[in-house]
Amino acid sequence: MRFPLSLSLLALFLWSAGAPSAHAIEQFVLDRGVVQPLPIAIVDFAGTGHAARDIAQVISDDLERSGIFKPIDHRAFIDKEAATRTPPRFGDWRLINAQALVTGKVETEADGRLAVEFRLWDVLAEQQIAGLRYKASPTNSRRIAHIVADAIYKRVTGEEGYFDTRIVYVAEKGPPNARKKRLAIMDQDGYNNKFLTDGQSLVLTPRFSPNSASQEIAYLSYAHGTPRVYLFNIDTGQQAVLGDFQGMTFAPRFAPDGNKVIMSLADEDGASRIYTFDLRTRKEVRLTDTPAIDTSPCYSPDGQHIVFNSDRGGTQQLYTMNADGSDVKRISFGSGRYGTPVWSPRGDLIAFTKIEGGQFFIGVMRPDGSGERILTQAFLVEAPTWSPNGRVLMYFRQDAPDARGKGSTSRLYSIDLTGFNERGIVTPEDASDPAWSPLIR
Amino acid sequence: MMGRSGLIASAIFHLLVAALIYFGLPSLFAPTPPEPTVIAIKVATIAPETHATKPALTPPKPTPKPQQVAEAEPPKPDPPKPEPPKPEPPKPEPPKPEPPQVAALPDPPAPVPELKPEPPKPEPPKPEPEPAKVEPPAKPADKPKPKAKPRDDDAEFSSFLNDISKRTAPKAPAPAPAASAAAQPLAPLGSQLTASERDLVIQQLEACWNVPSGARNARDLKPSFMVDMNADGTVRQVKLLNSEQLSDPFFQAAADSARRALLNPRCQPLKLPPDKYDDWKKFTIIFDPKDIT
Repeated sequence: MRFPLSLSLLALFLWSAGAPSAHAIEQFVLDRGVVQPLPIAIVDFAGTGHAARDIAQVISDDLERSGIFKPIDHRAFIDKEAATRTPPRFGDWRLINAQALVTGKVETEADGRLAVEFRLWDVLAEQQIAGLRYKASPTNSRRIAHIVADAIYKRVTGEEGYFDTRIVYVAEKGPPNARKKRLAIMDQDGYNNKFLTDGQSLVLTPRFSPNSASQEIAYLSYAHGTPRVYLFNIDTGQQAVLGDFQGMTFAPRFAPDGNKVIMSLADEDGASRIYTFDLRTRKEVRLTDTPAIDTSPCYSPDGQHIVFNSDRGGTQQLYTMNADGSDVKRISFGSGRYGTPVWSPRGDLIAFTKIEGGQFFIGVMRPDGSGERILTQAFLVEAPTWSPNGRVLMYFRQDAPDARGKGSTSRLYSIDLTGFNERGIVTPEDASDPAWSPLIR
Repeated sequence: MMGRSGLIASAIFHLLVAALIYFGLPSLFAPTPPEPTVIAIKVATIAPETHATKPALTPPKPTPKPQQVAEAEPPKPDPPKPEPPKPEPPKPEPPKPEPPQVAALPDPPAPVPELKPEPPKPEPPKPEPEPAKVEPPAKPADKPKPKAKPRDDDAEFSSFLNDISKRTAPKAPAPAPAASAAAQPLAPLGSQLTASERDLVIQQLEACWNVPSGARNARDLKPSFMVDMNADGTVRQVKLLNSEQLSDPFFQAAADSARRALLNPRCQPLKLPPDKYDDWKKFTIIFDPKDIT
């Protein structure tokens, strides 16, 4: 009888183990959503003087311009004392649909410096998610505000910010036949504009050194007659011609490590070839050697590859090659001509200008040429430059002149990588050829 | 006698073995397949209202001016939260706000070098990191494993990206709800909720999930949460399940965005059937942006 008993026990075990569990937890998968700016409330910082309010305003303007945030009108605020209330009354902010809240205060230290403190609150989770304190000279209050905006941007998006940066560009003034072009520099939001050159010589294509400590710009100048690549030191104002090339040098760009400049050299045979010039050893290396026009070279962020445009195939197209000039591959195959390629600091995209049907376009494609996407178009849009986080492109746009040949203005614009949020940047004069600096450290 | 009982036992044993062979062994651990009739019948009857419409893609509009109060959410009484009352911080002292909610927060960034008093040159201000005031990160619980789906073509990747070259040739408008019927989530096996009930919840939450579009590798960021619900359909508590990834700032941002969707009062109470509270008082949810970033 022992055998059947153990058998029935076994059967009982088998059945009970196989019985369905009492309760399975529901699981949802959400694979759709919306893309909207995040409603954020930025209260005036506590503290006396203009700095408290101005800093909050600069932060608000930075975040709003990014298109990722939507600052809420101060008049909607219920809690007027939020700057000094820690933690804030979250219910008051939920009522006005704020999802994030920025509070802070500004104090003047005994040594005269400003101490600025901010806190970023997640209103729905009811918790502080960032909080920092900075000290700086009162003359740098705008920079502190940009740094705070960068910290908020990074915490909310995960990406480095780009507000504490500057733009160097070519300021233009005067009639077309006597156009005065000067190098100018400003903060990314258009403030603190300063002219770097006097306009005696034509200047073009300024490019920032990736090494923010060096404060150097490479650019093309027609000083002394021959167009050549020069280096300009922003701190000292000193300029120096780059290398001792026999022909015309143009289209300079720094290597990612800042130690080399890559550019084109127009040889006597009418061809343009790509060279690198080592700033430490003062030696140049030729990378391309065809009878075509190879120009607008730009390094990938890892320094391993170079993208450039060339008409070696009959029309102007984009090509990539290894940093030593080997393994040249054509990557653009769309209709029209392609030029001024710029590798994104992220490394995942290349921005370019395209000319087709009498119109200019600015677009992006992957480094292998796939996924081409056009972001903007106009009578003339040119010279794309990436924000240091690879999220925003800046370029200049020129409208078509009227029937009398007038009314053609040239302005700077920025657009988000997604193709939305196109914004104009106010400059004191017409502007072209922008170049975005790295984050100022 | 012994031989006879042995014979009977052997016969019974053989019968059992034959029965097991015929009917198959019961699964030891997997739940038995749900009764299909329940799901099928409910879907059929409620289906006309269950289309999970794809929300219109609302690109970030250039909003030069902040929105007016009138457009903000009309003041409503907050949904009752049965959380225990939050202890007020002992002192209103600024440096140490002790937020009551659970969260995992990163340390502040490293300080920037001190400024030099050179007037013409913009000086890098020196940030002084705040004393850490954050709660420890939530401990990772059971990691729900999102189903490994085959990676879709890159065409899907750009659904939230603008390409003005496509404006001139107007394509079929955004996928119509009817066209996406095949993509509608089905009630998974074992679910006590009908497909329509699940759709309704997903549709509600979609409207509040602000997808991190344009972010690097956004499609790989899939925060998942365990959600505790109140009987009235409001969210009582959310807990990030894959919190071990919080050291990645991109994941942290994605997790915050997902948490905001769950906690947003505009999307509560969730429209779940009250009579099935036992089935949804606790659920997991994965935010998977693979097709929309």
